[in-house]
Amino acid sequence: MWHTVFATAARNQRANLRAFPWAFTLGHIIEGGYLVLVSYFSYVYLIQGDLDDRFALYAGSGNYLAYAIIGGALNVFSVSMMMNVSRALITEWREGTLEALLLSPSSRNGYFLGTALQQFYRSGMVLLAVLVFGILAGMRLSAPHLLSVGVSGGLFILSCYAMALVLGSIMLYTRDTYIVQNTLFAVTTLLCGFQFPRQYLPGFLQAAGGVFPLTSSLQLLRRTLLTGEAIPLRDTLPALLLSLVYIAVGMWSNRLVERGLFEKYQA
Amino acid sequence: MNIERLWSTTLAELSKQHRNRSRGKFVFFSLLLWPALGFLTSYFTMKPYRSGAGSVLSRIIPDERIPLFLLSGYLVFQLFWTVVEAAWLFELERKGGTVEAVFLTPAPKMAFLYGRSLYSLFHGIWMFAVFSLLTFLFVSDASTVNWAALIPALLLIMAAAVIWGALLCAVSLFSRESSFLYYIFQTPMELFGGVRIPPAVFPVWATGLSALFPVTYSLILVRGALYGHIGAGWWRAFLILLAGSILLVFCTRYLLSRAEKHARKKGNWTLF
Repeated sequence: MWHTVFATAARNQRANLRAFPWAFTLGHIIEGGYLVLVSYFSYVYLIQGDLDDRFALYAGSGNYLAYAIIGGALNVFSVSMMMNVSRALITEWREGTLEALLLSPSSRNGYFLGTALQQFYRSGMVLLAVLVFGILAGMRLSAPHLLSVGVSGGLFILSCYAMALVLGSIMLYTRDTYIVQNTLFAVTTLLCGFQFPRQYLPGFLQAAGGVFPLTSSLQLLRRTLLTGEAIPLRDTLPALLLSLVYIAVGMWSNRLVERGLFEKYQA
Repeated sequence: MNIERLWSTTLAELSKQHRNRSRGKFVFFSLLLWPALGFLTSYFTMKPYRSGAGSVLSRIIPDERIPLFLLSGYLVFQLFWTVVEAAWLFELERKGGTVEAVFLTPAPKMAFLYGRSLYSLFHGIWMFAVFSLLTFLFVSDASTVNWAALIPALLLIMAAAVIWGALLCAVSLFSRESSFLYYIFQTPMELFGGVRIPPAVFPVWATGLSALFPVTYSLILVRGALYGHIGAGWWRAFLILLAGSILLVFCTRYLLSRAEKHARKKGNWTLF
């Protein structure tokens, strides 16, 4: 499997550098810059730091600028991570290489992990750029608890990966990327609490947000970044279990869709 | 170039676009569901800001007007965004190889561009109606609405949007890669145009940027008419939008002729 992981990552990296203009990554960096600007403008010019009393209670910290910028950055990161992993197979289909891939004995998990690995250092660059913009805009963080940040960061990536697997099978089934992906991202931006604490949402929307593993892993990662405190290990369980469920469902549904793929449409 | 030919080309382009793009599902998502979710997100994003008597926010936007403020912002933004999409989809026409067919016919190209842009507007008009209806449901007292100002303002804004869309289509003629439109116009248009934050509170450099987007003036017009505040600022925005739109028509014409020259020089047998 590891062989496939590195081979896929290397192939995708090469394809990215050679065939696609770097406008794609640049676009994400610009988008991250705007996210910082929107938060900064709202906080500094619109409300001049005048926050609701409940905010510090819900967020665990009164540092709105850091809260919004980290949320925005993680939103961009999760979107590009989910988008690229989930689009992997349908892109192969559009480019005409899916048949070859399905015929080869290579591990499918290895293939997805390889896509995620390559995407990780691409998105990581975007994340870094946003953080640099954020620090320029006056975002300050306390010293992080490294172990907690590492664990919750890993969990965040895992939940993006898990959701991408399920999303990918839906895309392959419906033969559509644009509508499926944008609808999901509009929903996660509203429900997962990237820009504001979820407690402000009405009860049923809060409950609906709990369906995504992203929601709880985002809260964990941001809380430990904002407060610098360690997170108790049992808090990581809901996100971990939910991600495992998503991965299992994604693997199963991908296999199911793949099986019917060439019977349904002569590619 | 006579009026009749302009008119028939525009109609032909409208019917062509209609055959290509009237896929109901797509319109529902991109024009109604996503903006509605986006509107809800920005509404809840404002929740952590302190509101009520004496807060900084209520001095800029009175509490009861926040939903109306955001809705009017999204309404105007969507109007301009639909025409940006028209330019964005121009790429498909180049990839499909149909641009050269259009360019070989004697049809006036300006009418071709305006037909595209106009169709995008018609395409989104039902969504626009739903949004407007919601907007008026949120107006606590409809007596503040200055109808005599609102109706001509909306007409002017629609005309400005069509002109803006045609200009962007002409710009897209220079390059096959039109994803830049998305990066230049989505978030910046929203931020600097004042969809979520009124440009009045911006620092000077950002005010300069917001002066470049017609969305800014359109929002001044719509919000002014909805609140019944029509002063010198409102008339200034009206005149700038009117004069700017007329100027942009000439810019479009100039860009179009430049794009044709460019294509003759850099293109191949099939022009592009």
